[in-house]
Amino acid sequence: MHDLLNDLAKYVCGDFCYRLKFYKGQCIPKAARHFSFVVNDVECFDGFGSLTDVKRLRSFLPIREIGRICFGLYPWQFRISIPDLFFKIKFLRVLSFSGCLDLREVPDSVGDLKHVHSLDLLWTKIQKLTDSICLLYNLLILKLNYCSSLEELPSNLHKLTKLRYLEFEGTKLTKMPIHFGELRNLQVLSTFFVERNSELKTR
Amino acid sequence: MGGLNLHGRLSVKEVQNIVNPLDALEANLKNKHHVKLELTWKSDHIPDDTSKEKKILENLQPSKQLEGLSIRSYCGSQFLSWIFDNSLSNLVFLRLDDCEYCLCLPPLGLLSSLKTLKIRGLDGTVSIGAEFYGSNSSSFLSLETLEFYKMKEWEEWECKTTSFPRLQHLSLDECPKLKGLSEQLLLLKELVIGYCDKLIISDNTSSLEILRINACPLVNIRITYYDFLNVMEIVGGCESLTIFPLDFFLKLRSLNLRSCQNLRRISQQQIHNQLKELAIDDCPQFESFSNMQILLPCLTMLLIIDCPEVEMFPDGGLPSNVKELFLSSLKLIAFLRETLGANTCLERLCIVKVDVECFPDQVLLPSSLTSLEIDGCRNLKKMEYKGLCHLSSLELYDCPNLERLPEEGLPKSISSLTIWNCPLLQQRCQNPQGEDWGKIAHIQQLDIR
Repeated sequence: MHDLLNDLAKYVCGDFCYRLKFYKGQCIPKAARHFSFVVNDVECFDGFGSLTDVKRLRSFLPIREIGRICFGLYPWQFRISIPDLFFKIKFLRVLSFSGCLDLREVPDSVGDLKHVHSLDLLWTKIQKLTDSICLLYNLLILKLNYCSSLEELPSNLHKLTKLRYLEFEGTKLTKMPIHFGELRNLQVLSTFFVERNSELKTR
Repeated sequence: MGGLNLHGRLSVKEVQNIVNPLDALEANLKNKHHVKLELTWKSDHIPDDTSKEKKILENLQPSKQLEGLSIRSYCGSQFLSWIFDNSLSNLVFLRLDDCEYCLCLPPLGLLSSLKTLKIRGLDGTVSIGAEFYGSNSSSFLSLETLEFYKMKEWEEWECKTTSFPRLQHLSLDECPKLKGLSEQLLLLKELVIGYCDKLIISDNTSSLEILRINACPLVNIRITYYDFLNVMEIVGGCESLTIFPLDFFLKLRSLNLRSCQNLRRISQQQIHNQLKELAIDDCPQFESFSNMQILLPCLTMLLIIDCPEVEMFPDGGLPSNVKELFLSSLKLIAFLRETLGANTCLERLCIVKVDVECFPDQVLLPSSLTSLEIDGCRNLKKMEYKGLCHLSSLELYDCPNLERLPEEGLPKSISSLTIWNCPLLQQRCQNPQGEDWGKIAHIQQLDIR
């Protein structure tokens, strides 16, 4: 049954949804809107380069396959530069680098992705987030759990006025950015650090 | 934070940084829709004024909807009334960690919805008595699970007769001064006790289904008929245990005896039709088994690790239903094929801490075997391809000298490979440049760390 549903879904989606696991071929179709791939398959795929031609891409999602856990040995990695990618694909809505152990920084050009509403950086090695993230004024969801090197949040975080969901468990963070209380739309927050002399007040 | 309309889970950290209790009030936790809340003080914080800490906690009162609350390293000497005065009538989970300045527990018995209570590291608590239960006619009405951990000064536990009507699981770990338990606390399904040096249990424990005792020297197992006990684990401490009388434990499905210094044997006259798992680990005087092929017909798992006196399998061989076997003696492993016979259904073999350089040898393992685990064999250098035939799963743990996979690679039948903490081998299995990567790249389930 699952296979039949899968076939049906693939048929309906046509070229719109491209899943690396199920499609042979080295090129992502230009018409693709949604791209996902199983992390462990990345090593045998060189098609990331063709991503830059997929100008209407809406979502980019790595997926971890259950059963094949190879910690530290198989981090997935880009063979193309992320700034290039951001430069070409302006319409991304959902962007995830979850589990990309190689990712140490998010390039400034992320700020150009004005339509992104979900950004997932779980389990990456980023140390700080570029300030240009605060230009993503459509951002609703920001996931930073288990970014074990992350030391601080950008000071302009409060400019993400639509932000509803912010999680950063398992990081090195020890304080909140200033003006944090201005995130009036925030509904889910994993952690709040009280700072000396600033307390729990909204500033 | 005061102006935010938050819900779901929230963890508030570094609460010790609140200087003015009024600032805690401004966080407005009471009007937020949290389901789970964690309040954490810095763990080594020394309060300059415990009454101020109390005031701060008072002002951090959460909403009535709260279902789970954890308070860590709170350094006031008293808890607040909002914890127990019906302000949290929906609370099902409560955890108090390292609140070392608290001398006595609040009347948590009044929390009528509470199902799980975990209390850890309350170093100031010497005795638990009436104050814990509250003034209602019965207390802890819904409590099912109760855990105490690292209560280093705790000595006395007084129990009210009408308390804990639904308690099923009780765990006491590292409470070295606790002396006794009242009888009604033993009418449970599961009792887990560990490192309670002074604890004496002499009352009736016959309703228990699961009993785990770890290093509690004064706890004696009463030799009486246990009608419900189906899991029993004794780890260390039981000096008086020399012979385990299996005939008294009619429903036992799993028996685990570990580090029992004086244990010599398991006595058994009658056939036991329930026992499925038997583990004897680190029992230096343990000598022999009874004829288990006849007496333990349902046994499916047998573990004999670090029992140097056991040199032979029992007379009559192993029960024919044994599917899983854990061994650490090379002598026993050498007899394995002979003992099991042709009709064995053994599927899984784990060899643990065996001093060998090469394993397995092709004639050693029965052909029914589909899963092999090699654990902590520090001198193991290589494996024979022919010995691995028919396997579908291979697990290798902590073999620092294991250099490589067999020259011939791994049999095609292997669909699952686990390698943990075998640095030399791991180096060779790196993707894609490792020399052995080509031998494992096709395997569906790989877990290398």
